[in-house]
Amino acid sequence: MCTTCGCSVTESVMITDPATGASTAVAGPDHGHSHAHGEHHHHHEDLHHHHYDTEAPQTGAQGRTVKLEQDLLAKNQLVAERNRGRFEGREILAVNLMSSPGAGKTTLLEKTIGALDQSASVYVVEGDQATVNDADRIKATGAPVVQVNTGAGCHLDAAMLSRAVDELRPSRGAILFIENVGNLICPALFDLGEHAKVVILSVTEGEDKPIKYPHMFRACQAMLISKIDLLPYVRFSMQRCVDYARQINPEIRIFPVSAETGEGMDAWYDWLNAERDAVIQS
Amino acid sequence: VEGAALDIIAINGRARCRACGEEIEIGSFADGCACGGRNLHVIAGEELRLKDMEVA
Repeated sequence: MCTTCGCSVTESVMITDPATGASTAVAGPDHGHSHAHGEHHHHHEDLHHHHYDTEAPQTGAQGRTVKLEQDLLAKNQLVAERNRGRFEGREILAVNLMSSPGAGKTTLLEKTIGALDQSASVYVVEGDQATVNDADRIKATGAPVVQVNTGAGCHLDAAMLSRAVDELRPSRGAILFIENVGNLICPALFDLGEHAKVVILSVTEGEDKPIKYPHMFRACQAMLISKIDLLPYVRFSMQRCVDYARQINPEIRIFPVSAETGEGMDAWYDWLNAERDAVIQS
Repeated sequence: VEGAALDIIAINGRARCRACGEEIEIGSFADGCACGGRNLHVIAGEELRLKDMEVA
């Protein structure tokens, strides 16, 4: 998990608005602060992880066991629920898009924004370790976007999303796409407060990804099998991929798509519109 | 943290079968129920909890 992949290293998280080029560092290393139990949901300015930030009494006692009983993801969960309430209150459909690097998340988003343009305001949060390249691509579509650079981090967490949404200020009834850091492992663990998690698997990656990375495919409500225009050139069994995905998650919705040719994209848009209607009517 | 040791206590996965309602032990997300049901609701085994710390 994250301690092994190195993302718990404290390093600055940057949020960039590509429209102005203004960047803000939002994570200063902030170890050693302490607060009473139950006061965790104050406004954190620091966005680095708090996996090990629990109240360990420094008594100086020798060889004594300190009971901690802390869920390591409890703080993220609290912030995620705040995000969720914020989205519900403003009838915003927040969709967390996840995949390995290069599966086609940004291209899919570019096409999706163009197609949904008439019916809904679309906002985008871009997550990458470095560069504002993806935000620049989204900006070119006309959709408001902010880039979160996670530094050493391998995923977005709820606090990063909260700060990004502060900057974006999506309008009531908007669709908010969150393009997570390309990674099939850690992003599955971090609830952002989104309405739906969607995983994108490109046919060039191989059909067994769902059973190799079961946590990701289990966490998602929908899976897009992307780049299907390349099917004639790669060894990829659509049927086996679908079987593997359903083995891990029998209820997952599956959409084979090509953002390049547009094949299958209508079913994806229909699903998005239905989810949006549900958010607005609920 | 030099010389510190990390003890990881793995919890067995448990799930309820949505088909027959039986509570079963599972080793992976791909496991199925004895009744043939594959749609499982995982109820335990995904916890990430820091239980205690021994301070020297």
